[in-house]
Amino acid sequence: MIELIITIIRTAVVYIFVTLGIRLMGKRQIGDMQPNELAVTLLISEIAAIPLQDSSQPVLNGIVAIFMLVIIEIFISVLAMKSPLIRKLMSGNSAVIIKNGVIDQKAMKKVRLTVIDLIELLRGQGVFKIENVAYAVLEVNGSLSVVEKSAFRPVQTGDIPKISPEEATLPLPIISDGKLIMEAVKALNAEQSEIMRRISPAKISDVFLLTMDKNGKMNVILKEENK
Amino acid sequence: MKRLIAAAILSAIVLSLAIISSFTVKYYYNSLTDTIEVIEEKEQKKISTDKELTHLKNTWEKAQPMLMFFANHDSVEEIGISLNRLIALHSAKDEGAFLAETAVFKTLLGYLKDSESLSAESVF
Repeated sequence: MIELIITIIRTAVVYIFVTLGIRLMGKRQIGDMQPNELAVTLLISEIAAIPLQDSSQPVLNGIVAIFMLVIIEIFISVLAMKSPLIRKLMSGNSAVIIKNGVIDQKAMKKVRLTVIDLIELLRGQGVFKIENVAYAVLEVNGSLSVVEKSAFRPVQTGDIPKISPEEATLPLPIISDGKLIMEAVKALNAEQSEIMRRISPAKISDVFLLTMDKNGKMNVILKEENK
Repeated sequence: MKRLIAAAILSAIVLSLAIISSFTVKYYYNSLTDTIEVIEEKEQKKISTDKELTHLKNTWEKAQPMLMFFANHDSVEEIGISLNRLIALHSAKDEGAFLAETAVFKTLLGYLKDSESLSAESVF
């Protein structure tokens, strides 16, 4: 029984410190990670498991190791920001794989990318014909950035004269689960009384989600029991 | 900048823990080794070691929870078991086995100190 409680406490402690460590490293999706970040993440998960599996190991050893990895990662990322040489050493360089519809086979060999991989990556970007590609760059995180030739690019509003699209604004959640978020109200320079007037006869507590943008455009979703 | 400050704080924490750990292990190693050597000497001269054994037991009771934070729990527990054996052998007045156990106790303490001190062997 006591051993179980000890395991629960150790797990909670390790969880807190792993989360803290990953939080300090910054927000990145696994796919967006640089090679060194991926290595640190894998190591952290391995190290965190040791004190959980082996109760004879002090939790402190695992925590110190996680902290040390985070420290190294932060210092290396700062150094990489300042020095292109370190950035190149740690992350490598991106490579132009397709230029004006022509595959650079030497570059493909260098990055060990097969044609099948390339076609798959292009399909992932919504491109099905290599000859339509102006530039395709293999980024250091393994993703492919594609610029299509102007003739094959989808039409954008900026390409059409005499169309001035409405400026995009970010809708902020003003009411979430019946609670008013004052920070968002202030950020939009809105008045609480005005919001209440616009949602009446519903009350704030009746609203599941209310979003509003700078132009005052609102979207209200009432709680299901109030519909 | 914020991340650098966080890294500096973490570095300070890690460094402090390393110093505290090293200091704690060395302090208790020296204290326990000194006492056990006195016990060995007195035992060989057939002088009573009751006082020193009590002192050794009290020191160990203080040391054990601290050492558990930094060292492998199994290693720490082995030292505790050896101490209990020492006390039992002393009560049984088995001088030969008692002296053999003091050597075991010292060896276990030495292992603990070696594993917690900075050296090429402990690193690799």
